[in-house]
Amino acid sequence: MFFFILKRVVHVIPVLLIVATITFFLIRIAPGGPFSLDKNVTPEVLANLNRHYGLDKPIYIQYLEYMKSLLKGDLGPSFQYPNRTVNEMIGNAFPVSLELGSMAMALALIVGILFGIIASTKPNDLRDYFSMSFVMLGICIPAFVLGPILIWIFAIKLNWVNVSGWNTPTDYILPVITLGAMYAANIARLSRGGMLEVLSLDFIRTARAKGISEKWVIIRHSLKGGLLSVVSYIGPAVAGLITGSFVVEVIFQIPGLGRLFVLAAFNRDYTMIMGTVLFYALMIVILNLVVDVIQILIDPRRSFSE
Amino acid sequence: MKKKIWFFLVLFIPVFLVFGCAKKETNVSTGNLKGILYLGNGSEPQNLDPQTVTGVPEQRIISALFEGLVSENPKTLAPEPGVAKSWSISNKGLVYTFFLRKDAKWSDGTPLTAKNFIFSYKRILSPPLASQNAYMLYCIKNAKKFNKGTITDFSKVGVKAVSPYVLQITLNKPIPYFLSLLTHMAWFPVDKNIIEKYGKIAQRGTKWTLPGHLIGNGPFILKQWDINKSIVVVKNKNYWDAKKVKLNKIIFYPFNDNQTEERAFRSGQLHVTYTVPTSKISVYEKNKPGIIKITPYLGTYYLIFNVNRKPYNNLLVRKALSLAINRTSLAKYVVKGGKIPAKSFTPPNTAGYTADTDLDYNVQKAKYLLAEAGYPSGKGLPVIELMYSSSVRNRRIVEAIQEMWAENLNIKTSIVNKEWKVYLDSFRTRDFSIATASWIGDYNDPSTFLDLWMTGAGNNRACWSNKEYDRIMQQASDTSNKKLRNNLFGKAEKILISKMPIIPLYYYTSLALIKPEVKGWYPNILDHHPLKYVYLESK
Repeated sequence: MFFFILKRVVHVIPVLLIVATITFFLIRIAPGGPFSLDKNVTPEVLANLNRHYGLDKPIYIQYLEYMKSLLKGDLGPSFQYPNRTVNEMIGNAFPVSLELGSMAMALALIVGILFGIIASTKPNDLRDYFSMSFVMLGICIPAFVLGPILIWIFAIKLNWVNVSGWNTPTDYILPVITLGAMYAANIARLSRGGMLEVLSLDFIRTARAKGISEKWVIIRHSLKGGLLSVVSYIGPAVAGLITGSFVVEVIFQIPGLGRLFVLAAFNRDYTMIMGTVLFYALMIVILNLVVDVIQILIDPRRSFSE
Repeated sequence: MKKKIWFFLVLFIPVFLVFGCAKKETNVSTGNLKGILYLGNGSEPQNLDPQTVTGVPEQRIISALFEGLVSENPKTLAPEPGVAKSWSISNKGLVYTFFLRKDAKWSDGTPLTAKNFIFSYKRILSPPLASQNAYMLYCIKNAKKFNKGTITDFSKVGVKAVSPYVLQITLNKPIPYFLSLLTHMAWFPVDKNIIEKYGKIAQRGTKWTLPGHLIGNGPFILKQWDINKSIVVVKNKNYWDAKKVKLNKIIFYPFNDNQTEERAFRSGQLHVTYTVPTSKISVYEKNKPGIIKITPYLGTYYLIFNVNRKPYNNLLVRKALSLAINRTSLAKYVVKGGKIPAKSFTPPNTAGYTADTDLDYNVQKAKYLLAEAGYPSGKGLPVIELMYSSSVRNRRIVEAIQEMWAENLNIKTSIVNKEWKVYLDSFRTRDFSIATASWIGDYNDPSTFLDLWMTGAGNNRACWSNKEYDRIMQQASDTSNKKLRNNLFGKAEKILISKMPIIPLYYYTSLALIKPEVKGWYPNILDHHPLKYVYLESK
């Protein structure tokens, strides 16, 4: 397992370099720059701004200088917030997104797997139809509809929680539900499918024939195999969740990474865009590795020597 | 199964009890008791350095943390003593001498002297700082030359510390509205000690503006700044007029979405918001008219032509398009919020000036002019590309205009939605035919509107040029006689409207939602509400 992990860690470096290079040039091709404002700046001011941020140098020199500081782990100053560095801003925003994302994923796993198992134990029964229809709502209703509906019911009409913010523990409830709903729905469908497949296999029939109760058939014998597809879904899903969902963060006014990311693109904050893209790429690569390791560990048909 | 149902019910009852029965304290109710104002402030401020930022959200906070030579009367916006307790004007309006109050201090207790202002003006005019507002100080003798790097000796610039508490400013030519210019944040003083502690005088992006570092001279001090979360300011005990300040604390919340902001207001999280979603305007006007405040604002929304592109280089086409727009319906039903249909480019009663022009809605005349231009019944006119930057309001406006032009002139318009930065870049590359635009005045004087359209002016995005217009505007800037100036502005405006490089649509109003307990908040045309005078009075 150690060499498997080591090999994959070594692969991370060229992946990040390629992502950094492509992003670097792509954002500079996009029309509009960080200093375009609705009131034009004079040519001298623009020249001085470009000079301060090194944008007056030839592009290959800008690229090399950026790569040099990147290797030192320095993502540079933010263009949009000149008195803050990108490292600082990601450092502040990431824990918030991590909290929100982990709670949403935990909720999605619990609800999703539960519904999926309930549905798979009596397929094509009323229980199955109800569970799956409920789950469909999570897929069909987008966050920017679900969020305001939940806010209207629980925050405005019932006044149980705040409409927005990320201060008290009760502030977490609605955003976590809004963000987790879609993932819960997908996990439910995947776990139902996986469980149904495993429950139809021969060794399950053997277990039942031996007299093992249905509860233990599910928990001890089918769960591991049935949730394989859920595990491979979770990897990239977690990366997406913990780097923040822009929509949920704007609706609930949460100071997370998703908002930072999208606003950086909107403001053409070059360094912030690079920083958040690279961070996201790193998260995906690490989480994919974690998922692969878990899959190999729980699937007896696979091994690390592959 | 039954056991399971009871199990879940028993589990959830305490949850319902906890949430249902506990009475929630809102920000507004706590704030009313403790003298804390909660404000929705639009987008997250880029920085709190008065000399390098340009946005309105920034200006609101900076006006609480700093104070200039002159302040504004909260009701009339008339210049009032600020750091300067009095001033004299001499040499036919070229020299202003300010007598600073001796009890004016920085928030750390150190005295604020004339030399601080010299340092501050040197900083904003230093080329490496690349301040986008430096041009506001160009009225000072030699300031423009210093900012452009033509001269490097700041002692040649027309600002002098005659004595520790006397500051003298020499202008290039007399400016009747000079004192109101001084209320803009570009003219605020900044503390030399704290700036040089964290970098050089004109170094951009240093850490001096962070909480715990920032030193200002205004009614409040910066306590906390969490990006995208909140900014907290508390009363400054060292402010010379501290006994007039009634609020103990102000918390500014950034919002990217005005629907989220309105919900926060409705649920008692905010005392004030500066924006109302279009869909909610009529709801508040009908159900809660005391809460929504609609005030004329110094700005104009208009369409701008690329006058070098066919067929918009043809004056008859431009006039026809303008005559076919029903501004009254547009303002009342599409934009809403008390907007006033435009009759000129400069909003009426700008520092006592009202243009004597008119913008008709006359479909017959529009059809006639279009035919005269060679496009009878719209035949032969290429599809009009109407560019706008992404927003709900802009989309509603262009869709309405598209419909008006189709119905009245039988012409096709394709509406082109561009993201904000791409929209701005299209002006730079001249890649547009007609676009939506707005202009908000920098200060309360017609020149801030009419200077825009002089040949070669930095913000003349129509690239329009008219020698007679330029000549009249130059004459106006050379005189300080108010009556003569207004007369000249009137003439210039007539030329602008008759040549129509732009189609003014409506004058802005500022919209706000304000809880009734907020007092000391007065409507004015610049939407400036100095927080020094605001207080909370619970029922």
